[in-house]
Amino acid sequence: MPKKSTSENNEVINKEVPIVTKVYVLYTGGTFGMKPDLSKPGHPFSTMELDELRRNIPEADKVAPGAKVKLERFDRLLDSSSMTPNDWVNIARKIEKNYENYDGFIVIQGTDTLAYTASALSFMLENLSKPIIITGSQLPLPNPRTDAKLNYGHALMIAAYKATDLPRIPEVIVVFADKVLRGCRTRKMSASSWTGFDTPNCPPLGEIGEHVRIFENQIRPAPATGLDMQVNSALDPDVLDISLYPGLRPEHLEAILSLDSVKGVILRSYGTGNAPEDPKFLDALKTEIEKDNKVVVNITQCPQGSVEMGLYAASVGLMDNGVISGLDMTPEAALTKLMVTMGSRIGDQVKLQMQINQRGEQSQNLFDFNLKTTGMTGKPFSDFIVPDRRFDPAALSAAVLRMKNVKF
Amino acid sequence: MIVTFFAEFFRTRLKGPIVVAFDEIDVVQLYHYYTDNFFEAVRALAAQRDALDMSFVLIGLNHPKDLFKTTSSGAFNISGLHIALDDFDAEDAATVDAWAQGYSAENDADRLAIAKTILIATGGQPFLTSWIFDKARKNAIQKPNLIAPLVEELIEDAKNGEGIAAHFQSARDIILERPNLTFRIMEIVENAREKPVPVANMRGDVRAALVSTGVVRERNRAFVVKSPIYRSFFDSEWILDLKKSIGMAVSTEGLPFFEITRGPKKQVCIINTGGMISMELRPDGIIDAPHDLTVFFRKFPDLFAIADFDAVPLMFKDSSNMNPDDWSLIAEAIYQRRDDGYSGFVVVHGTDTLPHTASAVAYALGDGLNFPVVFVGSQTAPHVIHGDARINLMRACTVATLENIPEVVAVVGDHIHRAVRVQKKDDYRFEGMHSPTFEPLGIIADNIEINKSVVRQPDKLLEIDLRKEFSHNVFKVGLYPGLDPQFLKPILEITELEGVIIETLGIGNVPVEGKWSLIPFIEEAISANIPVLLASQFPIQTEMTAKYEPASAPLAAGAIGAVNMAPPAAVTKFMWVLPQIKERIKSGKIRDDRKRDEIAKWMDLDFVGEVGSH
Repeated sequence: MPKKSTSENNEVINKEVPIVTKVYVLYTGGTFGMKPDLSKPGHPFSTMELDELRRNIPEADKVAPGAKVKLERFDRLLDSSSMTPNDWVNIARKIEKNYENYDGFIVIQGTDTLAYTASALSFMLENLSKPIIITGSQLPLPNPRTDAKLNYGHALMIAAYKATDLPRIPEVIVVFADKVLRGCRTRKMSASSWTGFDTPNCPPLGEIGEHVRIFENQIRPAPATGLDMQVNSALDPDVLDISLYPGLRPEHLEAILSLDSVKGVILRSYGTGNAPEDPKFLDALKTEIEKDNKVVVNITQCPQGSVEMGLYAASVGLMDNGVISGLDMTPEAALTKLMVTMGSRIGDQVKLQMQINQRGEQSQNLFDFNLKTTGMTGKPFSDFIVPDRRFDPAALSAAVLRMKNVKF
Repeated sequence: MIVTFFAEFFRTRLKGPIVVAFDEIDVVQLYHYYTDNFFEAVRALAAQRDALDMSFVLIGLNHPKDLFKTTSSGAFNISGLHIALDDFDAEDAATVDAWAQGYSAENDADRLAIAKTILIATGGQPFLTSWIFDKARKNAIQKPNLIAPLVEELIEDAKNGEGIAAHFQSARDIILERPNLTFRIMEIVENAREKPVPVANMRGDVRAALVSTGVVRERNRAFVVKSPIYRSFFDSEWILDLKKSIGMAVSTEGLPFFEITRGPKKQVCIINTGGMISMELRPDGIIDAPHDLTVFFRKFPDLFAIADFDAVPLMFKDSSNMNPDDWSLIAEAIYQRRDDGYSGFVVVHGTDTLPHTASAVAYALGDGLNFPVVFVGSQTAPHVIHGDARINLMRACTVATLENIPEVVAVVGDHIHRAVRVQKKDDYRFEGMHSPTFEPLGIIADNIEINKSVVRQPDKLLEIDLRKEFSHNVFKVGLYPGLDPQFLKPILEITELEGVIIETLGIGNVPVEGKWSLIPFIEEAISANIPVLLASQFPIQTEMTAKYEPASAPLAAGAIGAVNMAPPAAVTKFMWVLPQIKERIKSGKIRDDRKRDEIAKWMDLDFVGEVGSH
């Protein structure tokens, strides 16, 4: 919450001298800052220069009195469908460089991969105590019907939380149309509708109507004071994301999985995590998991829902072959989380961290304890004695006991 | 009771020891009701056999323990003598010698070799062995290598319905007598042709039925196909043909009688392929595919207020396991029954890949379809009282009786969606599918409101032109930031690859910059004569905009745009178009260098309402 003066006249003072909030805005590319080029046939879109952009966006003081905006743009503007992990690193670096000097951040980009950028930044930025808002638009700024001004205005109100007296959201969030959404839960739901984004597996963090309402009980707590923001910029992009479909040949899958450059796999399975029971298909996965210790994360290709491995026969096969569960993570979150985790952890730690909630991207934590017995004493022991400080036996909601190789 | 009857009736009327023989005990399999009391009675009698001075003989292919219906209790644990009448063993010198006895050849070695060759070919099956033996003797065959042509001739004749066709026919009859098990039996026979199938976790009734067919035998706790003759006769063609013949009329016997409110009752054919809606809660708490498809009808007798039913337990598959061959089989199952007087068909299917199967079947049946084919699934099994299995089935069956919706549709919650427009959106809530690119064809409310302005009107003169081939060699990749095009290289090296589908994030945009650019991959595929389809995860009604380079570059490189189709409809259409174009090239109707353009043209054409907006 913004600090308020203890003066008896504080209300009057506040109205006349609003609290200054400094907001850093980065335009990376996308429809938002486009304009039709009337000099060319067909009027293809071209991008606006910084000055033109500055003239077109709503004035900060009119949106949120007290907000001071610093606008920058990438020299090389990016079409969002051409964005890559390197670009996420560049955005994170920009934020890191300006982190101390600003109260809130707005990143503007194209909508196609907006959810990926939001998810990637969520995992890359650790100990975040300031709002990082990702937004964009379906129509360019100069278009009279544009949603760019609305989205930008709302983003600015939330970023300039001190000036607008809104709650501080210390997270990477997406502000688009009438919703304030958690970045690592956001999915693109439609290519052309105004309300193109949603978080199907979690409630929104706020609603935008006549007023901007933030649901404070949904916001994750800020890190303890003294913890500095850090950027995990060592992404490992060697991740394959593949969606199952009827008719997918196990041979085709194997051809790709066996590439040395594929180190992690996001497997978008059906329903609650079901995959074909075809032994050839399962063998292809098993070989790669066992041979090269590749990480295969199972998520659902349904826009809504969660993986519940072991529920039906069709998913038991995956589990038995070492595939780990992505629970209710979105494909965007699973992919970027795996890239960040593989860049910063090694070995079984990757699998362990993947199944633990890091930024609110999944509803549960999963800890696998594999009991083994030594030949000498016959005493069982586990791979991970204490897997993580986040393992709290008191918060345990369910434990699944699966036994293999039991002989009667 | 039974003991009293034997003791006071038979024992007092007949003198001396009595032998009571029960022949063909396997017949109990055919009764879906409780038959264990027969064995219980025999057990009770056996306990008194000394006092009665009676012996009991049970004759059959299966051991009584395999014919018990309740698995939880009652083994057939009486200390009887089990006399196994095995087939002849070609490895047993005495058997070979015994058969060779009756054969005249030039020397003893040939005599034995001929007997052994025959026994190996027949697997020792008594009827086949003696039949070939007689035939060989009649033809005065002197060398063992002349047996093979004889066997081939026998199989050939049998396939044409001549010779000993009746022998093979009986296996088919036995399988078809058990329509609710046919799919499982065929699955095991199919697998047993390749390698032994362990019997360990096989369901008792399936196992017993398999033994009764005589097609397989148990060796080392696994089923193998009995003989080389059976292996060549019961081939994949035979299996497919048999699968197509599955079906049964559903009897209303024992069900509460339902009044028909108006008009004569219509006839609806239900084709079951598996999935949640067909699951059954077993007494032991496990949810399993039903032993018997009539489970629907016993659970929901009020279905008969809607129509009369025939049921086709075509397969029991989790929908994750569905493949293009299954689509063909479902389409053909409908096609074959098109003139059987049904007002419509209901296809029961798991929800995961329902949009794919429904789309594929819609293409296969084409625009000559003049009755409703209704796909239906559910999120919960029928035993969940508040669930959607019952209500979805009721609604689907009702839609199948309608005359004004001659299309392949999916009934989901309150809506009737066109098959080639439906997509899955949710795996938890009941309204789990939607059709964002096209309005629903109907709304199920108090009345079933069919949106007449959008339902296709079939040309009355058209007949169904079944085109059920689908490519097995299409690879689909969904784009995501960070996809290294190098990952896709191995795909192009697959020799039989027929097509690639790239699912874009926006409306046809792909990465075009630096090492992440997908353009070289597309160009390489095109130059290898492999068509590339550009689909969208978010289909929209407008034509793809070519204003941005990322959207126009892949098209310039030769990719085919299909961004206004629902993803399952685009994938299955591509798989459906490819073999047809291939066929046309083969027959000279299309030049090979026109392949890409023809595919593009077909993808743009509207076959069953998959393209375009309202």
